This record gives sequence, C-alpha cells and structure tokens, in this order.
Amino acid sequence: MANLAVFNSAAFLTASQLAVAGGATIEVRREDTSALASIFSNEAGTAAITNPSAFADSSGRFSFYAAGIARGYSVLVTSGAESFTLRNVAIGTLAQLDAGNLGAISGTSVSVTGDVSGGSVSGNFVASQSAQETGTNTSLIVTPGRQKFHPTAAKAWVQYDSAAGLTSSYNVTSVTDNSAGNLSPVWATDFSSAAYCVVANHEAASSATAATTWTTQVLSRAAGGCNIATIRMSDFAQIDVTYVSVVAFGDQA
Amino acid sequence: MKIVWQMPDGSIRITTPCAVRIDGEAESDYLDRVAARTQSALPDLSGAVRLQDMTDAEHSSLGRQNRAEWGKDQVRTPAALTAIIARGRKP
Repeated sequence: MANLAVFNSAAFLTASQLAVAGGATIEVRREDTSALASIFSNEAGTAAITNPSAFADSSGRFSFYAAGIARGYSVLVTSGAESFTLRNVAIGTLAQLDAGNLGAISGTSVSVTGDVSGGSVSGNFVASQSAQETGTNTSLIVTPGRQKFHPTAAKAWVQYDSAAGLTSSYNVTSVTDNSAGNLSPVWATDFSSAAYCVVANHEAASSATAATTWTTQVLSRAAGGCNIATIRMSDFAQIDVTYVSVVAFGDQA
Repeated sequence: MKIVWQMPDGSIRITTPCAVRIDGEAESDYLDRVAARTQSALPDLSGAVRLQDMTDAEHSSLGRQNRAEWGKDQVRTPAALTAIIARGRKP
C-alpha cells in the first residue's frame, strides 16, 4: 500500500468551560457511503485502529492515517455526553503538497510516468481541422474524425465497375454512368476548390494487344466530383473495363 | 436503386447512390438527397431531367449494351422509360 496521509486533531469539551477531552472516542466514516472507514496508526497503513474506539490520548490529541477519497470523511468525536462531528474532512497525500507543487499540475507541464486513462479528451489537447491541414504540429492528439484532414490522407476513394456498380467507397455520394467507359464519381464532402489531385486506374483481364490495352484518363475535375474515362489504345474509343479505382487527395472545404 | 437522368439530347445516364444513409431516412428521401447532390456537383447534369428511379434488378436486366438504344428512344416521360425497361427484359 502506498503511504497514507495523516489527520491530526484534538478533542475538547465546551459544556461548562473549555476543557481537554482525554480518552475521547473517535468514529471515522466515509462521506460517500457512510461506512466505517479503514484507519491506521502508521503511515504505511499496516497497523489498523479499531473504529470506533477511544484512541485520543489523555490530552485529547488524536491522529490517524487514511486513504484519500472523494468527498472525504466524517469524524465523530464523543466524550461523555458531548459529541461533535467534523464533516468532509479532506485526507490525502495531495494535501501535503505546497503551492509550488500544485503549479506543476495546474500549469503547463505535467509529467506522468504511468498510463493516462479517461473517458475522452477535449480542448487544446485535440488537433483541430486547421492543425491537421497544416500538418506540422507534433504535440496534439489526432482524433479519428479529423485524421482525414491531413494532407497525406486520401479525402475520397471509390472502386466501381463499368455500370457504376460500387465495390466500396469513402466520401462518395454517387457514381454516374455517363456512357461506355465514362463515369463520374461525386464526392460527399466537396474539396475547397478544383485544385486537387485525382489518381485513377483500371482493372482489366488482358493487355496483350493495343485493342485490349486501355488507359484511364481524368477528363475533368470540379470541387464536387470528377469525370473519368477508360480509353482503348488501338482507336482511342471510350470502353468499359472490369473495374475503375479513383483516389483523391487535396484540401476539403 | 438507380437514379435515371435524361439528358437534353435524349440520352440516358444512370446514377448509383452510395452516400451514407441518415438514420430513419426513407428510401425515397435518400434518393432525392443523392439526386440533388449529384446534379449540383456535376455540371453535365445541370440540364438533365430526372426520370423514375430504377431498381438494381431492372438495371441489370436492361444490360449495358442497351445504352445506345436508350439514347435513340429520346425518352421524355417515365412511362416511356418503363416501356424501354420492358423491352430490355426481352431475350
């Protein structure tokens, strides 16, 4: 067990005049559950104190060690007919830090040697769209929803067959079959302009002759989509092929 | 489903939707949304008229080779398109 924090106090009576409450009974409960707390007489937490018990000394002084918990402890002090309860007593090793130590936590630099866990992160920890687009920061967390904004990330991709039948896609709204060997994918999220990069290629069974060899050409490109043709090398006619794959890189709106 | 467009020259273009669906969105609303987005993004479709939608099965039965016929028929109405689809189903 890690070292525990200590709580020191003194019991006194106020019924007639201020007087030491030697041998007072101390009862310590958790504020969060009202259960009797585990308290100890040493920092290592190996010597348990019976709770409740009369462990105040003859001068009314008492102390115990306990683990830090949320909302703290309630400490009931009883001597004869008098009793008093201290509420939400904060006990924890953090209370032994100085203001300078706290600065390390609330300031700009925190060093953690173990894992950091939690439900989520937010605020300045998280890379914004613009930080991703700039792509130079090395101290922010990249989240799944913004990874795509980095210049190296593909903004859209699609594979379709000659009849605009889709194999799979990302950030694509539709594929329009214009004519044989001529199709137009439309992006779901526009690029910020027509100045982006389209990479297109096709898949076909044979390329033994010019009549069975094709090339894939980007005919036009707009912020919202592009126009792709597959062209037969022997006569430059637009011809259907088995599959066409299109990938686009650039800055999104 | 396929979205069917008739171009000013009478030819037909077929759009296959692949947009991410919105929870609870009706099929007709989904197709309307994709059609609007597609037409706004493709300058070539600016003068096109949307005809009745076609099922994937109807599209498959037509066959890719009938594209020229679609254009020659100068389809102007949904009923005419239906007739073409019916012809496409013939062996």
